[in-house]
Amino acid sequence: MIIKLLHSKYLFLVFIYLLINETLSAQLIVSKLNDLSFGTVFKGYSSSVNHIDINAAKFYFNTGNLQNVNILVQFVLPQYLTNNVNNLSITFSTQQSAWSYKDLTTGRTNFDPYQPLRFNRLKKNTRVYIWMGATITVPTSIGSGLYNGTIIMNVERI
Amino acid sequence: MIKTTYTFLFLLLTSICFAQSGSANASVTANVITPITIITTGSIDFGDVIVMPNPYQVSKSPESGSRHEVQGNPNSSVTISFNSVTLDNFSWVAQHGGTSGTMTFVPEVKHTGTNPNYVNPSTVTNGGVYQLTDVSGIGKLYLWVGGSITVNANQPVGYYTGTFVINVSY
Repeated sequence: MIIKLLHSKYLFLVFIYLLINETLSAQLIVSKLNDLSFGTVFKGYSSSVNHIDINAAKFYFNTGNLQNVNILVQFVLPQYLTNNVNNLSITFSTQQSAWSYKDLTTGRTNFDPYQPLRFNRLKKNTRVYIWMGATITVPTSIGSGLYNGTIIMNVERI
Repeated sequence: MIKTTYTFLFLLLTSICFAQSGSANASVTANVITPITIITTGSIDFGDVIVMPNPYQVSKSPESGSRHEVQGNPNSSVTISFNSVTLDNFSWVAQHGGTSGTMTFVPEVKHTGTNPNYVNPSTVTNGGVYQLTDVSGIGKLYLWVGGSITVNANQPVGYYTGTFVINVSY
């Protein structure tokens, strides 16, 4: 009787382990592949990075084992880059933002980075690449130095 | 007890199943620098030069030549490049007639750091790298240009001109 009880408990634990393992393996894979860099910019000038530029930010997500899944992508975009003394405004645009199922410069679809980006009924192991450029205009009165900011991409199953 | 355990496991699994999300961060960077500007005062004018039976050299010291105030990013290094210039009297001959001729201007370039006066000058070599020193948030370097020309024995007369270009780049 005791052996039977232990056996059923053991099977139950194995079942739970397999279930958790399968569930975890079905998780979304989200990663950043490239940072957005304007390089060196002169005071008094503007600088733009397009989504096809090698210096554009590049993100990636994969649906893993999730089948027919709806995905919502949202961005937290910086309004300013800062050197901890001065702020430098930065703007993102639809023309400078694009996504694609393929890692190619052609065939991309533009999107508004300030609005949620929704993908419906994505199949298993669907890869989505997202590129983002931006524009900065550097005032002549601003201090020299390295200015930083952060783009956060949140990917959520809905 | 068993009921509580099952409830806990159920909640754990459902939370794992439905809380599927992820995020990634990308940094955004821009290196802001001051563009280079050069403010030139003075010119390199050798004045009247007499043609002599033998060739000779006429020189003008950098102090009495042209001064170039370079402004840019504080403490940044710049590369300075320049070349000899061919002067000609072509425009003068076209207007007044005579024989066309050329002369070569060989520049002599000095710098005085952040001092706008010609004090303790240092030689600037073509292709050399120099620093723009911070003066109240502006990187500065003063360049002084003089040089020499060789007047040949049979040098055609006329008004000789040419353009000396000095390049300063990060």
